Formats: sequence, structure tokens, C-alpha cells
Amino acid sequence: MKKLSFYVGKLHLSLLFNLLSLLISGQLMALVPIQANVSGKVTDTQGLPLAGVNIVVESTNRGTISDLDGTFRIQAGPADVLVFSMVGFTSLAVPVAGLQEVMVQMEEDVTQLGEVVLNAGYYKVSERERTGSIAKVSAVDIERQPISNPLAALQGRVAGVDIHQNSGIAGANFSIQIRGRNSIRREGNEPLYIVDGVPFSTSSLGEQQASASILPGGAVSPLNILNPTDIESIEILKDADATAIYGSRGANGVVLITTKKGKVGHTQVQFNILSGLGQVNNTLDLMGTSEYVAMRREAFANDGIDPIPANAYDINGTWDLDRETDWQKVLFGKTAYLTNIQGSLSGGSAQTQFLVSGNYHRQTNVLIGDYHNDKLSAMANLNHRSDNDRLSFQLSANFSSTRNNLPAVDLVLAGTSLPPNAPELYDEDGNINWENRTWLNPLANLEGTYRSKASNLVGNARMGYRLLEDLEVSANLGYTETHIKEINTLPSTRYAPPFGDNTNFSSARHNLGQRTSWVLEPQLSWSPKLGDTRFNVLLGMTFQGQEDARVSESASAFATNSLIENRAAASFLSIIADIYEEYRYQAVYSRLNLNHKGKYILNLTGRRDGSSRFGPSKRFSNFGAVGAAWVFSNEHFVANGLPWLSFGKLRASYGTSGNDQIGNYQYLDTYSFGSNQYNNVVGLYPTRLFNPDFSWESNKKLEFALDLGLFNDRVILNGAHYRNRSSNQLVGIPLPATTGFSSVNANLDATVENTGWELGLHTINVRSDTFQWSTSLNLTFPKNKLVAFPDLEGSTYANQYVIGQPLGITKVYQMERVNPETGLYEFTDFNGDGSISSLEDKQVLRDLSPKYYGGLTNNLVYRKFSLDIFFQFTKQLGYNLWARGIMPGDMLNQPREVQQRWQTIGDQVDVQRYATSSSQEARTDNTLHSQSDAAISDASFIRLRNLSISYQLSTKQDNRVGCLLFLRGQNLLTITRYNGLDPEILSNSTVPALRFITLGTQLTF
Amino acid sequence: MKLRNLKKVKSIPQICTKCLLLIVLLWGCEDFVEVDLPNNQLTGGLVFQNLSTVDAALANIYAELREESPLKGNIDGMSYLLGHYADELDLYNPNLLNVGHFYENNVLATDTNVGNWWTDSYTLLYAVNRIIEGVMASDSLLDADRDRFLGEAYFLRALFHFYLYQLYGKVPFVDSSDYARNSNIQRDEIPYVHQRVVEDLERAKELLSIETGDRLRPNYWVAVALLARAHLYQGEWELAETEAVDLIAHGGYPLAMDVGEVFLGDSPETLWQLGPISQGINTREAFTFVFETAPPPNSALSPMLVADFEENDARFSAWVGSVNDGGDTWYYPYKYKETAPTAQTVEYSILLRMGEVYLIAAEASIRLDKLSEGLYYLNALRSRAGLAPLAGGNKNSLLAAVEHERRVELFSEQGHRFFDLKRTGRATEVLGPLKGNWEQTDVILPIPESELLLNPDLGPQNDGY
Repeated sequence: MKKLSFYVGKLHLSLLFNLLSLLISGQLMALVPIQANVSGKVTDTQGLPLAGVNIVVESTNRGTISDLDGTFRIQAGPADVLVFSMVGFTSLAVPVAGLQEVMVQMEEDVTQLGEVVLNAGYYKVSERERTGSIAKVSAVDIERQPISNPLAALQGRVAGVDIHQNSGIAGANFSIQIRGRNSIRREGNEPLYIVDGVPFSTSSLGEQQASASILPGGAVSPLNILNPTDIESIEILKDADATAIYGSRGANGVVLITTKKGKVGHTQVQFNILSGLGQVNNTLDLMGTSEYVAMRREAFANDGIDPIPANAYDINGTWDLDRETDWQKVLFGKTAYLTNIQGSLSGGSAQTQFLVSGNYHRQTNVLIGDYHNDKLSAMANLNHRSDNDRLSFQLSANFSSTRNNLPAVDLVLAGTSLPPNAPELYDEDGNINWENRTWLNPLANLEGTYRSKASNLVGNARMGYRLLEDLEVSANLGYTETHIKEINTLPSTRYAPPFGDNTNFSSARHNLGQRTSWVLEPQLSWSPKLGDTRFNVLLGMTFQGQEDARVSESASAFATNSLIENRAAASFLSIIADIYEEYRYQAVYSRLNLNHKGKYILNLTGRRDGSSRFGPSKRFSNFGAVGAAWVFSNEHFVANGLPWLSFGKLRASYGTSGNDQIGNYQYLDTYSFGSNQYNNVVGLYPTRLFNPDFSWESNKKLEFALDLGLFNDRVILNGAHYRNRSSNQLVGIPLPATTGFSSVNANLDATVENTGWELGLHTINVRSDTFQWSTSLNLTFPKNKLVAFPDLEGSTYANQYVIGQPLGITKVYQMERVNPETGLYEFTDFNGDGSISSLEDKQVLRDLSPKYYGGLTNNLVYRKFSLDIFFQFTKQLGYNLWARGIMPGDMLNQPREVQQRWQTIGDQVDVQRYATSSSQEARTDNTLHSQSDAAISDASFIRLRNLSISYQLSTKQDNRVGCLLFLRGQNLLTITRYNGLDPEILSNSTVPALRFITLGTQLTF
Repeated sequence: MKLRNLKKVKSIPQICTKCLLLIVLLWGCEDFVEVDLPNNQLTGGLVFQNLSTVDAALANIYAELREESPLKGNIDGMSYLLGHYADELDLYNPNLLNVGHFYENNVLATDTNVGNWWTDSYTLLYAVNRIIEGVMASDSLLDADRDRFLGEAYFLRALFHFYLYQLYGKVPFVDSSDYARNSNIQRDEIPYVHQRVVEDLERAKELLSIETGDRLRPNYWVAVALLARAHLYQGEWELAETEAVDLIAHGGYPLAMDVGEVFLGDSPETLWQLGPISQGINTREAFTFVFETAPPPNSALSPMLVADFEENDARFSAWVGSVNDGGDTWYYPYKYKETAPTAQTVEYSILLRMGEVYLIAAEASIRLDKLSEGLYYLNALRSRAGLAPLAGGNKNSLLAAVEHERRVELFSEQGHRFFDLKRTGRATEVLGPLKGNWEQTDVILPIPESELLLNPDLGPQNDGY
């Protein structure tokens, strides 16, 4: 910390020094010409005053905002031009022409492109003039969905972005990939997240041993703690032009999250209340008791086992043969309740705006038992600009906390495989029924719980001062703090007696994690105009620090289970991990944008980065990109010759960005303390083979795109082709064991290529005073290829990847048939050695990455009714139910389809004969089958992701109280041929996505 | 207008200069991205400046011997797998595919355990070499401490290489931590590896203390015992005899007179045993071998081994457990009995004990035609087991008696039976008729396939694989 304060101090000093010297030289004063106050009023076409209109003196940074009554006051020279702009209205340029008062009427913008302004991180750019690939999802689309994770809002909305949720359990994480997988390391493919200008680390602070069993992908992701309804917009930066300014962290794309801000207007109070019901969207078609019993009997008959053995409790009379339970319904068929209450207060004058809001979200689970996820969040922000518009100040703080309470183990596997005649869950006394130890009661898993409590604070302050009319200095200061506390209890009562009564078998795992990070970014922006060319020059620096600390403990053997959460009551305590890590990051970045007549646009970006994750000799590196756009619709010959073409732009970009997701300290030669003990001495082991010379992964991105607006922008078409090549792959270079380690971190000369087409189509189908109908479609055709990998065969990746194939492939056996004679599966013996064995016989490649995906939205408005229908679709292959490897005939329930099994010699079927676990051949073949091409099948789906109907009962303008009623549904319908629970989640051992129907109202005062 | 533009242009260079100055000032501080070490790590150099951290680095190796090495007591350790590979254990659980491969002598170069034993050994050898290099270079350790650390490290280096060449035949002797060098290292001839093992053990003897201590760390006598074994395995009878007899004569490690005490934590004949992960935890071996239900859930002692026990052999009642399902009886190694934690640890995994040293002394003496001496050592063990002493016999019959005694004394301990059959050249003769898949070349395991791919200089593969 000493170092930090030193630098901050130096920064202040040097800033001061510069400002002083500027002032002393007297030029600051001399540069501002004598100007007059121009005032005026902005109204709409009906003469009503417009508040919050942006007014800028053209080609300067000088601007203001119209006040509540539409009036404004600005300093401008008599020859200056004032530009009026506001979202939803057509921009207007009005020459001052020596006047003192300017009256302006603005027209509503009916085109779609309008004045959409995109947040590109360090700068803003209009949709029309952008040279890079930036996609935006705004609050309107986010709010329509009853979701709790911001990433869920993006699903299917943005071309090139593939997002799926990992489980239907409340609080589960989402996976995201922007334009495919770039890194050979699975964990190196996360995009960079920036919340309100503050880099936001999403790596989990959870402890594997505490949380891995219930939440796929580890503990609560910090991203999950953010409240989606606090978000104003999410921008996704995809190509080199947009990401290069993020340098070493931009390779996998950048997700910019901007929270809501106060707006100019009367003070407004808004309440948003919704509640809803959710259920799993699908269950399996499993056998009933009679079918199940018949299967089991046939299995024993097939194996020649008679009488039925003593441990076949399900059919030897131990269990009731007439009992039938729908375990799916019992174990994960509950209705989940969703409640979301949000209140906000906002308003402000032209100079100062504010917003405060609070949100409470609660979702219960579909699992048996009482489990729920609660989120509480609060947000406040304040914007201010000084009277002379030189000084601007923004402050925002966003706090959220979440509590999640879950069973220690998912119950879906039990729910889909317990024999239908398995015993009662509880005995007469209400205790767990062990049925004389003849079964593993699934409720045993509920004896243990997983609870997490996490909180997150993102604070951001931005201060800007306009030194000259086209020169502004600013500083962005951010701070984040994340805490997580987890406990996972495993009491002895999850075992049947006598173990169940022995509290020595009880254990609990505790984890406490904390992350703090800060960022400081001074910036200088200069926007001169020379003739018809506008320049935008941006120079800035980044200083960032992050500290992670985590302590995990395991406690076991308690005097009584009621004290299981108390570490002091444990007989054995051991530290699983005690970790403290630091990360430092430093950069200079710059942007030069040239805009000639709004027709020819050139954008140059660059960044020089330094990161503590690399050794002293490899700490710094340069990244850069060039982007260019030609707005050909602004050419005379197009404007005259093709009047139906309202907008046309060709753009291209090329550049580099990097990836430093390797973890901290990897370049150091260190010894670590582990959990290994010998005779009361904690072992110290060499952490790794060290290589101080590894460096960034670098990603070269190339993109060509065409944006068209037809018929006055009623039809907008976007097409983009990208090719990203990620090389210098930062992987563990495989080494033989004689070196002591299996790998050493180094840059491997392997190249991964992602290419693809992204298409977007937005149309306004009908537009009248009473009825509007618009449609949006996005479609992505991604392709991933491992272009080069030296010595792949000799590497640990040999069985995972093939050169020329996507990274998403998997190698499987080839199922040939069910042998009509034996009734067992047969596989292709590729190496002809007479046995089917791993590696040599796993020769069939299946690509599990999506072939194409996209989304289709229809938005209909009729008077006060509004209807939104949003479909998401993916074409892909995925592991199906067979991959679970449950053998037909075993003491586990099965889907009804296994009844198409082999029965007598000569049968030509796809399912092998029923067999019991004592038949080793059948078991082996069944295992091979679960790793064969038969276990992978079409998992494409079309999902009605969101349906939203709303009715505007009254508006604030007309009735002083605005009231909007809405009915929303999530995941209402899925069209798929997938053989399994959920083609999106693709795991048949966790809760599928929930179907939610919610009802709510929005009240505005 | 003109005036204004002019002034603006003039000021641009100045502004730029100032900005540049600002940036250079800040950028000058490149060590901003220097960070402190994480709290759970120490730099390599620091570890060897301090007595307790070197001790911790060694402790980790001993802990890993127990957790992840061929010597571990789990179902993927040598005691269990080589028991199946030879004629000690029968497999009942068909789902233990990896064990099945050993049981059927059908081990492939891709076998998980073949790979793990190799990898785990060399991983720990890296740590051992780091300690040797680090302690040598350290200038702040006391001589006594330095000697102990080096002694233990040389002993461990010998131990790992000893098992490596017993298991895999020709193996690289790795004596440095330089990964560039070790990544294309070649295999050394067995005599060379053996000679290096002997050198390391002699060096360890010079450095280690002769005090008994807590038996959890190797001392002088532990090095002597391993040296005796290494010489015996290599047919160096005189050297083997000298070491073994020295150790017996020292008298610090008398045989436990009650066979029931041999595998207890305080057994007087234990030379070296592995400490538990925490107080109260007992051995993995007990968990691996002992069963309570019939038929055996995993494996049981082969009926032939059971039959090989002479009547009234106290070892049978003390070291063999049984389960009866009403008809059949199955037996299991019951040397270690505690499957669950106890208040204080009562049993430790024993790696070297006097029972074996007596057998080494006996065999080496007999090989050297000192039959009466040999008989003396053999009968010492027999009488401890409550058996009548052997009266005598010719060299061959006495050697057969030693083999028999080794079989019933050392069963289920780190693959003794297999190594005995292998070194005496009797593997094919004994195992051939018993096991359908047995081939002459099965006396050594294959070099792991993945290792050959990563370092082709390790080739060629052992014969038969």
C-alpha cells in the first residue's frame, strides 16, 4: 500500500503542476474567445417543453442540458452552431446566427437507428458512426425478463454471444463465450467485465470443497450478485476496433455494464412489484412400477439368476411391489415462488440529477425442502455539472447482497433414477426412513446444507474539467469490494444407522473470501475540428490493484450435530486453504478518431499494458487496432441514385488484443503450504516449475461488416464476418514426468481460429398511430478450428483436440449395433486388436459447439397494450440421457425408451438386453455405449424465452399516477428433439431451466 | 475566427508536451506492477535459509509417500496391486477394472497406475533434488541440520530410484532439478542405477544419526536396511549380509516377540514407519484389506497363500482375518486392524522392519554357504511365530525355506512377494501355471505410454509391451 499512495500522490502533484503551468502561462484564459450567453427553449412538435435535451456547441465539448421547462442557457459565439439531441428525437443543428434567444422544436425520431449512443468504455460513439463491433442490450429488454443474473438478459439477444445457464437452481451461474473459444485452456475464455467503468473480476471466491457439489461451475459468481433491474444497458465489444483499447484483457471480448442514472425531470417515484410461479420446464418419461418390475425380472432371467438374490430389494419382496412414486415430482417438482420489489426515486435539474433505488428479490427452489435465494440491492447515483459547464461530476454506488440456501447435493439424479417402488421418504415418526438399510434415502442429502452469503459493492466517481472548449481532463476512480461466506454441512445423519448416530462422521466446510479492487484512470480528451474533419483524441492511463483473500477450513467430528456449524465444537479442524493474492495492472491507452464529413471515419486505438501476472522481463506489451468506416449513404451518388437506401455503411477493423487470465504469481519459483501434514508438520512443496519468461496470449481480430438502413430505416440489416486468431497460447507446455511436473507455463505456438458470420435484421412492419409492430432477428454461424498445435500427439491435450477440428470436439466410440445374437452393444474396433479400449478405439469425432444460434423478437403495440415475444434458438449436438451410463435392467429407473430393447435372438434394435450388474460384459458394453456416438445426439432447440404482455392503465402525465400492468413468462415453451431434461443446460443431473410466469405492476408517481 | 484558430494551434504543442510529461512521470514508475508474495508461498531461495522450512519441505515428501506414491496403502498402491499381480490376492469385484488388469497380468503401457507410480516417483524426486541443491547452497543452516537434511534427501532419492528400477527395469537416474535437462533424459542401465542408489545410501549413512528417534524419519539404520535389501536384490550377498548382520548386531531394534505387536505403532522392530495425516488416523492398509461381508466386496487372500501357512503359525491367527458366509470362508490381510480413527493413532504404515532384515541376513548367509548362520536368522523368525525351528538342510532346501518364510512373513507389504519371485528368476515358474496371461516379460512393467510420447528418448518400450 505504501507504493500505491506514493503513486497517487505523484499523480496529484503532476496534475496540479500541469494545471498550474497552464494557468500561469495565461493561455487558458486567452484561448476562450469572448462569447455571449445564448438562451432558449426546446419543445416537442405539440409545443410541450422537453427536459433533458443535450445541447452542444458543435465541434466543441461545451454543452448543457435543457431544464424541466425546456429552457437552456449556453455560451456560444455568434457564428457557432448548436446541436440538439435526445434519445427518441431527431437531432437538430441550429446556427446561432447572432441571436440571443433560440427557440427549437424537436421531432420525434421514427427511424430505428436514431441517435443511439453506444458506450465503448473509454469513449462514446453513435450507432451511425461506430467503426467497431458493439452490441447493446438496453434496460427495456432486460426489465422484461424475470431473471436474477445480468447475463440471462443477454441470452439470444446479441449475435456472436453464446450464453447458457448451468442449472435451473436459483443462484446458479451462466457460461458466456463471445465469438467462440479462443484459449486452449478451458478457464481462459472469460470476457472482461466493466461495471460503470470499474473492472469487475468474476472469478469465484468460493471453495471447491464447500460448494462444488450443488452449484455447477463452483460457487456464486460475483456477477450473479448484481441486480439486473439496476442496469441501464449492457454493451458488448466484440472486434479489434472496440476491444484493443482494453489491451491485454480484451481478447475474449468486453462486457460493459452501465447502471441506471438519474434524468432531468420532476422528482419521480417508481415502484415495480412482481411475483410469479416457476416449475421445471421438462421432466423425463420414466417407467412406472409395473414396467420397472418387468424390466428387472427380465434382467435376472437374461442373466440366468434364479432365485432373485437377497440384495434385489426392489423385486424380491422387500419393497412393496405395488408402490409407485413419481420421484421427479417429489424431489424436484415443487413450485418455485419469485418475488421482486423495486422502488426508486429520481429526478433532477439541468445541473444535477440523482437516482436512488432499492430492490428485493426472492426466489424459492423446486427442490423438496425449504430452499431459497434472496437478493437485496441498493443503488445511488448523482450527476452534477457546474453552471459554466466546465466541471462535471458523477458519483455512483451500487451495493448488492445475496443469501443462498441449498441442499448439499442436487436431487435430480436421484429423482430420475430411483426405482418407482422405492420406499417412503419418512417413517411414521417423521424421521428419515432407511427401510432397514435397504436404500439410500435421497433425503439423506438434505441433512446437509449449503449456505452462502455474498455481498458486493461497486463505487465509482468520475470528475471532468473542461480546460478548453475542446479539451477535457477527467479522472475515473472506482472501487469494488466483494465478500463471500460459505458453509457446507455434512452431518452424520445423512448415513443410515449406526453411522448416522455417530457424530464423529459429521463434518462442515467453511469458506470466507474477500476481494477488493480499485482503479484510477486519468484521461485527456481533445476534439478539434479542422475543416470538414472532426478529430477525437483520447489519452489515458489505468492503474489498477486487486487483492484476494480466502480462508477455508474443514471441521469434523462433533459432540452433537446441533453444533455442526460451530468450529469450536469440532474435534478436528484443518485449514484447506489460506490464500492472499495481489494483482497489479497498469496501462496507457489512446484513441485517435478522424471523421471526415460523416462519411469517412478512421479509428485508431492502442494500449500499452503492464501486469503483475507476468515475469519482470515480460511485463509490458502493446496492443492496437485500426478501424475504418465508410458511410456511403452520405455520398451524393448514393443519396441521389438509391433514395430507398437511408443508411449504408461499410466498416472493417483489424488489430490485436490479449489475454492474461493465467492466475497470479505463475512466473515465480515458490514453495506452497498445502494441507498435507506429516507428524504435525505442515508440508511445503514446490508450487510449480517456474518459467519467468511467459507472456500474453495474443488475439488478432479481423472483421468486415455492412450496415444498411432501407426505406427510411424501417428495415435495418447488419452483416458481419469475423476471423479471430488466437496464438501464442498461454498453456502448460507438457513435460515428461522426469522433470517433476507435467507442464511448465509457457507460450505455445498453437493457434485457435474463430470465424463466423453474424446477421441482424430489424424491421418495422407496421407503424400507425394505434398499432406498431417491429421484429428483430439475430443469427450467428460460428466456426472454431485448432489451426496449429506443435507436438499435439505428445501433449496432455492429445486425446482432447485434433488439428483442423474445433476445440469443442469430443472423441467417442462408434456404436455399430446391438448384436442380434447376444443382445449386447457392438462397437467398431478401429485398431483391430480385438478389444474396445480407450484412445485407439475412440475415433469418432463429435463437435459439441453450436452450429448456429440466434434470437427472434416481435414487439407489438396496440394502443395501451404491448406484447413482446422472444424466441431463442440453437442448432447443436449434445450428450443425451444415454451418457449417464445407467444400464437398462439395473436397479435404477429408466426412461421408457429402453423398452425397445433386445429380447430374443434376431431382434434388430438399438437398446441392448436388460442385464443386472453381475453381468460384466453387459456392464462394460453399457459403459462403452455411454461414451459412444450413441450418447451424443441432436440437442437443438427453439425456446420461447420470454413473453411479455403489458397494459398501460394510466400515465403520469394524464393521471398523475402512472400504472403499468404486466404479465411475463420465461422459458414458456421449448421445441426440441433432445433426449434429456434440458437442451440448454445439457446436464441430466441438475435442475433444468425453470418456466416462470409472473404478474406485476409498475407504479409511477 | 482567424485569431482564435491561430492561438489554438500554437497551444497544441505545449499541451501535448505537458501531457506527455505527465504520462512519462507516471509511466516511469514501472515497478507499480511489482506485487508482494502471496501469504501461502515462499520463494525457493528463502525455503532453504531456515531450519523449519526445510523440515517442512521434507515433511511434504513423507506425507506424499503416504498419500501419492507407489508405497501408499490404498487400492492403487503396490501392496494391493502387486499382491494381485503375483499370487497373494484374488479379485472379487469386477468393477475394479484397474485392479483387474494387474490381477490378470494384462497391464498396458496406458495403465493408470503404471503412469501414476512413475509420475508420482519422479515428482517427488524433483522435490528431493531441490532439497539437496537448496541445502547445499544454503549458508545459514547449522552443520548438524544440514547433515540430517542431506542424509534424508539422499536416502529418499535412493528409495524412489530403487522402486523405479525394480518396477520398470532401466530408468533414468535423476539427480538434478533442471527441467530442460530432465525433459529429454535417457534411461540408465540397471547396474548404473543400482550403483547410484548404493552411493546415495552410503552417503546417507555418513550423514544420518544412529539414534533411534521416533521411527517416523529415516536414520542411519534405515539406510542400512535399505542398503541390505538393495544388495540382496542385486545378488551382492556379502554386502547384503554385512549390512543386515550389522543392523541385527546393533541390537537397537529387537524383534517384537509377540507377533500381535509387530504392526503396532510402538513395535520395537520397526525401523521406519509413516506418520498419519493427523493424530488418531490409522493406516490406509487396514481400510484397503479388511472386509466384513461375504463374498468379499473387493479382494481376499488367495487360498494358496492361506494354505501356505503352517499349522499353528501364530502369524496366521494374528495377521489373517476371515469372514464366513455360512458356507465359504474368505481371508484377508489383517496385519493392520484399525479401519476407523482412534483417540491416538495406534498403527502406522511400516516401510522397513527387522522381520525383513532377519530374512535378508538369512538368505545372504545361505547364499554364501554359511548355512548355520542362515538357519539361525530364519529360526529366530520361526520361533517368534510359534513354529518349531528348522533342523537344517542343504543350501537349496534352505533357500526354499527362506522363500516360504518371506511369503508368510512379508505378505501384503509393498509387493515383497512379487519382487522375490522376480529377483530369484522364479516368477514364470511360479506364476505361469497359476495365471493364464503370465508372460516372461511381465517381470517388469511398461514405461508409461504418455511418457514415451512426451520424451521419445526414453524409448524403446520394454519388451512385451
